[in-house]
Amino acid sequence: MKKKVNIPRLAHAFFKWYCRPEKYEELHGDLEEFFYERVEEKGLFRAKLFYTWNVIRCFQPYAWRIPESGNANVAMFMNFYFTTVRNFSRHKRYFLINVSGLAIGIASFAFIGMYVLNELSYDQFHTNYKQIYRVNNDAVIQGERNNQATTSAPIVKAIRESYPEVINGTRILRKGQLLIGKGNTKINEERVLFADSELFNVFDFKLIKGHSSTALLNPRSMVLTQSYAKKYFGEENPIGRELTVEEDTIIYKVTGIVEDVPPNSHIQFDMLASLSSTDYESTTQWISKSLYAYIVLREDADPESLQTKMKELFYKFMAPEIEYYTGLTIKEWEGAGSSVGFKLTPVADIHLYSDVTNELEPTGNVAYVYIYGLIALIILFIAIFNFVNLATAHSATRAKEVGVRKVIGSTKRTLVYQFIFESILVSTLSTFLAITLIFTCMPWFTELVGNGLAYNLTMGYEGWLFMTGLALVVGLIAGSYPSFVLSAFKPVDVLNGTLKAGGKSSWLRNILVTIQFAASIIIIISTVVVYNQIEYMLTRNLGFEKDQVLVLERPDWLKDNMEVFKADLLENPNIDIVANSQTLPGKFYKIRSYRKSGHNEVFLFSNNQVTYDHLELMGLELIAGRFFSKDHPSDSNAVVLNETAARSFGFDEPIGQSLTSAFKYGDIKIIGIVKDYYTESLHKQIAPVSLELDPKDASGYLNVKLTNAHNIRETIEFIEDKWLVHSNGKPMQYFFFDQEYENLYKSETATGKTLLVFSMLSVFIASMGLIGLITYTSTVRRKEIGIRKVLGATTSTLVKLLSKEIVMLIIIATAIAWPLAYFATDYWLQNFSDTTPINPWIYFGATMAVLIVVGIAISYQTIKASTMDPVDSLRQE
Amino acid sequence: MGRTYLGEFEEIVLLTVGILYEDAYAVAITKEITKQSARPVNVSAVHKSLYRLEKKGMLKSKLSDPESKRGGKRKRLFMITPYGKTALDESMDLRTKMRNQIPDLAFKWDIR
Repeated sequence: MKKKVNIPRLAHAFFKWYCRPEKYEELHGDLEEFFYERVEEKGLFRAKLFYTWNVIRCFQPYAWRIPESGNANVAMFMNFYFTTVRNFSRHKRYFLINVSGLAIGIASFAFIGMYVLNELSYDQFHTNYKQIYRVNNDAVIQGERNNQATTSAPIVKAIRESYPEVINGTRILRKGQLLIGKGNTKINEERVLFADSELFNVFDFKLIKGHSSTALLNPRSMVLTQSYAKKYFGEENPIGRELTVEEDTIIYKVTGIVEDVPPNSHIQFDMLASLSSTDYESTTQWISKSLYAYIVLREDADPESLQTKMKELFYKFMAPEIEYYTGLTIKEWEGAGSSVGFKLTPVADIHLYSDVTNELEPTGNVAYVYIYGLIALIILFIAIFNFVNLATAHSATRAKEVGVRKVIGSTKRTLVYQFIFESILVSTLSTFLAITLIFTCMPWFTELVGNGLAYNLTMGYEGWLFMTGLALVVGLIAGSYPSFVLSAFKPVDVLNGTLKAGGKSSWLRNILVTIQFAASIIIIISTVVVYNQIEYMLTRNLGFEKDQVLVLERPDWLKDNMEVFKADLLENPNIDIVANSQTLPGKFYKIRSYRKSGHNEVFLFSNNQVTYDHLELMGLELIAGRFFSKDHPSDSNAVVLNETAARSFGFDEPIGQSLTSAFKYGDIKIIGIVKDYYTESLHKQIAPVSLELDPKDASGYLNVKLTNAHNIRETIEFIEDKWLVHSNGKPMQYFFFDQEYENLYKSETATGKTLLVFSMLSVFIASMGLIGLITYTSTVRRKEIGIRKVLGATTSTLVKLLSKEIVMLIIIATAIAWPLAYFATDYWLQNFSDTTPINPWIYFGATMAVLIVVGIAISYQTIKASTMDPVDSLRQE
Repeated sequence: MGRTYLGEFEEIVLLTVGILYEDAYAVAITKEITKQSARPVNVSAVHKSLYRLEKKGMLKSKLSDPESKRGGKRKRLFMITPYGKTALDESMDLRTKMRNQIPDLAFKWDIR
């Protein structure tokens, strides 16, 4: 009976569920017979489809568990069902507006729900995530907070030795891009991390092959994710195979395969190399913060008190090093307003709440999670309001039915049941539609939010449970009010014909419409403000030029050929300037400390190491002194500051003053001052910056300024040819500076785009409902329009008459929306140190946009109604 | 039971049960109708009619032996009852009787 396995499981389960047990054998026998025949004739897939179709077709009273008409309740629900179906097929447009509006609403809600769930669930897939903490330095240097996600290399060992409540710990090191080679193919890999052997014991990255305690124990071991094992070795067994790292002579052995990292992990990697391959494993230096450290606490441990206790480690290990480097006693150093403590961040809080720099992956923002959640709710409720509005407006068409049902003996309660049943039917149908929408739009949505999603609400047990729950809740909310309105009709009024169509409950409808307008206006305003701010940030004068700069990574691969390579490039007329720099605005700046010669006060500046042409290449403006020059050999001990840095020393005449630094021997002369420029995104204030001449001329980036935007492709090919010659065939990696800089605003741009899409959707749903409403009321008032026309009213007076009420509602909505929109956008704009002024026209524009949509809908309907021959609308058969 | 009423599709199902005689079960009936009338029929429609006809007393049924081609399940075989035959005959008679009453003239379109 191996055939039996092929039957679609879900459909079979459904059949089993509804089918009467005593009929199951014969009925399912028939279906099976058909199924096996189909498999032979048309193949398995078609047969499965056909079987599922048959199961759905057989979902009929003769097969049901419950007797066909024995139970009065069942008969009642059958009647409700048929009434609903008939009613909808009679009013198709009304039905379509309802179902499609709700479907879009539910789909948007589920999409955003998946995103929000993903953000909120970061790092909670580790079984003991509540006990895992990241250790990072909580440093204040002369009153200024300077916190990074990284910490001192020896810290995990020290903590484990000193505090018994810490039961495990691991460290991760990020080195940036590495050139990985298998034989002759070499690929630059971004996502390579170094980790020590406890990683798999601390975190739940599941090893498929290899041993969790030893995979990363020995130097030059490497663990690949499943997809990377496939990428490098295909279907072959990668264990024991070799990969080169950076040099052909440095060979790592593959010791394990780990499952792909879930999207909701703040630690992302494709390859893991053993930390013991680096000298960080054994370093005893505390003062440099280079590693990410994680510890596991015992369940009963108190992280707060541990955090306080850990200050001891500072005095024991770090303080002597500080004394050595600064020449101050630790009392003096602390007296100058500096301190270092250690902070424990719960691993699940890192993604949304961490506010330190140099994170492993860009973090999220809990404010955005709230904003997204709010939008999801708004869209869902706009769709529900549509349903309520249309249902109450349409109530007149059902009034006769209600009257007859009541006369026959239906109670109010059964009528309420009936209409709630109806709305649940609609919401269920919409949910099915929403699920198909989600399936088709999923890839597009993940691209929109720029992130993979760990949850799919249309898959798996929880997903289906959620969707079913959502359908029920939406149906209940949407159906409850209309059902009370409808069931309250008095039979006498209805059957007499004295009931005014759509007249009742208009106050609630007005409130709901007003809320919809207000929400639409707020959403339009917010979207435009967000877009303006992003545009502003991208086009603002940042104090440096970022256009037409091609940045080559890893210039250290050129080794001794650097100068020859640079000279070669400059021969191309399309290349203007070539200069090295250790870092670039938007990238990570190292911090350096300076002191005025003979003083103890320490100043910390963001430092960049550059070559002679950096000033010209970056388009920085020199406001005093000069930049580094080949004519002054002593420039290796000189520094150029930006205004903010120069100001902080308080010199009257900064040029020519000498400084000292722990990183250099002897005095350093200030030779020039450049105008302030942004080194980070506009979220941050302008930082003090020091520029020094790069002694090795090799680190960081090689920046190439192009003379024009033409022939870029050819120029890049030219550069690549030269690169391959001088780097001994290493692959060339490059990016355009302006594009890379825009990545700083990735989360804002993604938010902006997402906001735009969903705001358009919500406005679309709202206007759809409104058009439905207007269409209906104008058909109800067709007679009135006819009479007015006969008495001499013009089309424009009729438009005015019909739109008067709705324009009033829009005005009220505007009055509510403007202040709310102002507060919302103001709250968001506080994220930025430099913001675009808000143009009041945005506010008028939003209201105008709503007015125009409404205006078009009303005019169309009124003109249609008023150009009609009054005879047609007034004649009564 | 008063007047017997036989729907058009029911009548076809009843006829097919008769044609298939000893092997009249839902799948075979569905196929036979599809073959004879060249109209697509779903097995659930046949089920519905069969059960209704049985309830009206025009068909009776019994279960067969298990068969491997249906996953070891038995099938329900249907047979026409005397009452079923009467109903079928009455329906046929009515039709023929009424058909014969149509004057030939009604079909002579070219004369009018």
